[in-house]
Amino acid sequence: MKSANKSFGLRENAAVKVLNYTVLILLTIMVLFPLYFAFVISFKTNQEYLNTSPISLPHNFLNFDNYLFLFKNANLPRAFGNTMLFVVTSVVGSVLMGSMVAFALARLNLKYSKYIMLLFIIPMFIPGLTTQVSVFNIISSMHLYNTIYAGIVLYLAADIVQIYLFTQFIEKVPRELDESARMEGASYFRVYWNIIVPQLVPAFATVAILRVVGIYNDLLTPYLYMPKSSLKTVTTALMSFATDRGTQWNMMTAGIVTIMIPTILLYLFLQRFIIAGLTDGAVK
Amino acid sequence: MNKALQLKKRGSMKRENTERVVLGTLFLFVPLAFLIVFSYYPAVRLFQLSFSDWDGLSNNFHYVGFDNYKSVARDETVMHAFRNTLAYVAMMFVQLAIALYVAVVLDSKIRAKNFFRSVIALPFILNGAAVVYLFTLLYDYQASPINFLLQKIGLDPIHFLPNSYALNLSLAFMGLWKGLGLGVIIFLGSLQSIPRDLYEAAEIDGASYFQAIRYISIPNITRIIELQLFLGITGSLQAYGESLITFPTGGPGGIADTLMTRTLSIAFKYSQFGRAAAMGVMLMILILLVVGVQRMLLRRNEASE
Repeated sequence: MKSANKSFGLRENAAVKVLNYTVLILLTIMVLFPLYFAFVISFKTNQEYLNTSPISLPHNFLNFDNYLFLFKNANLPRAFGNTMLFVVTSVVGSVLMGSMVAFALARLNLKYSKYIMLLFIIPMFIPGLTTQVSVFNIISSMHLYNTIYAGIVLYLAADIVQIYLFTQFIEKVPRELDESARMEGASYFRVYWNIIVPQLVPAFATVAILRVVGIYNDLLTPYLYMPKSSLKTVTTALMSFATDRGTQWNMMTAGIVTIMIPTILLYLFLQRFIIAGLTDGAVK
Repeated sequence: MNKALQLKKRGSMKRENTERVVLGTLFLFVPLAFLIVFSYYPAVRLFQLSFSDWDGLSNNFHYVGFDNYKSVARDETVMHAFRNTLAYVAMMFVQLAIALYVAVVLDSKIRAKNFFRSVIALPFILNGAAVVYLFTLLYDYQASPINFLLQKIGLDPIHFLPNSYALNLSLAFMGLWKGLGLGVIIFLGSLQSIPRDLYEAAEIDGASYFQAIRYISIPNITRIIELQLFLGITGSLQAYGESLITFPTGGPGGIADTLMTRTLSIAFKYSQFGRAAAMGVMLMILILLVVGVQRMLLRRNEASE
């Protein structure tokens, strides 16, 4: 995003300029202050939290007691493991299924490809949460309720909705590439695997980002379908920790910070890709 | 000789056709199966269950006609939840307006725009539940650091979660805090794809900053505005996370219930899955109606311009 030379030069007057900067600074404060509060409180001992102001720095930034307590009591390693498992299966699944569907519909000249594409598009307009009651019915009649497969299957199913992204990307791969490979006698599968898949790597990155953000954030799937403690994800693990320690703010903030840190780190290093990915995901 | 060649060619075409169809079927089979089982079937099943008395456990159920719909329509708590949900819809409009404004500002000549964009977009990638818990700290009358600061400068502390309708606005604000940045970067992305010479031409013609925004920026991104409205309406009418985490039981007298949390508790707390399904159907129809009306209005606007 080379925005530096892209801004337009029309002059706003000084008052507008002041207003614009004021709003941006206020929004910055609005975003950063809550995070600052959570961070400083999470390093305070019980006594310290009760006796000092909520905005003061902790006496000792190396006081990791709250974090240790959290890791012992909220079974976080397990929760992070489960979340990772869902992310990995979903990313692999959506990359495979998405590229296969896009290839089949855009390149194989199948008879009904237009109608099949439509089949994939219509569900984007079904408000997904309203059908949870019947999804629950289906998951429980498949005997997946309270098993790890409930999450795996439901996240894979959610990927299908992002398939249209791949069809957008595949249109940009020049047809000459696959036609010349066909001339040389490559099978359609070879064309898919050796020519199309490598060209779709940017699409894979976009989908991976969308899936990581989506799954890491999701509350409903683990909450409704996997209440068992060994199946908790980071979100539901934090929720059960809150039921026990909800008002011990030094403990709670340690939980909040811990759960936020992985995506904050990701954001620090991959920000450009994440912003581009989120924009693509919505606009395309 | 010629004929033999033709035959051979036809043979290879046939083989190619089979190859295409077989590979196509293989590639489409699993995704289509997922699509049918987890997107289409649930919608159909929802309708079916909405006419039943399924309790969530037993393997069979009876059909009860329109009883579920009648009881939902008569249910005071559902009306209450609907009114609460409107707070989220209202907040969504505020959020989109601010997002559009911020995106326009970031698209103009301004210092440190990358810094502002990064910071404002940050909350979107934060875990949603963690954000809600962070806000329960900010909203806690006693513990809130905001109230601490207010008292420090001699102001009265605020009841962020009062025993009134305003509480829903506080809850909905969590969504604004988290979602604003996504709106900004989506608007910004589409604003930046507007050709710059349009603005240069406008400048030569003596257009003001506001005229340029009104007549160049906005008309060029109506499709994105429409998309954001669609996502915003569907999202806010299905809001649940803020309420569910802050008030696991819906708050005193269901004061914080939204349509979604009400549906979930009718199903999972009271085991009335049939009634919850009827609510799901009604919510789905409501969303599709609102989205449809929005589309029609925008289309008519476009046609008249």
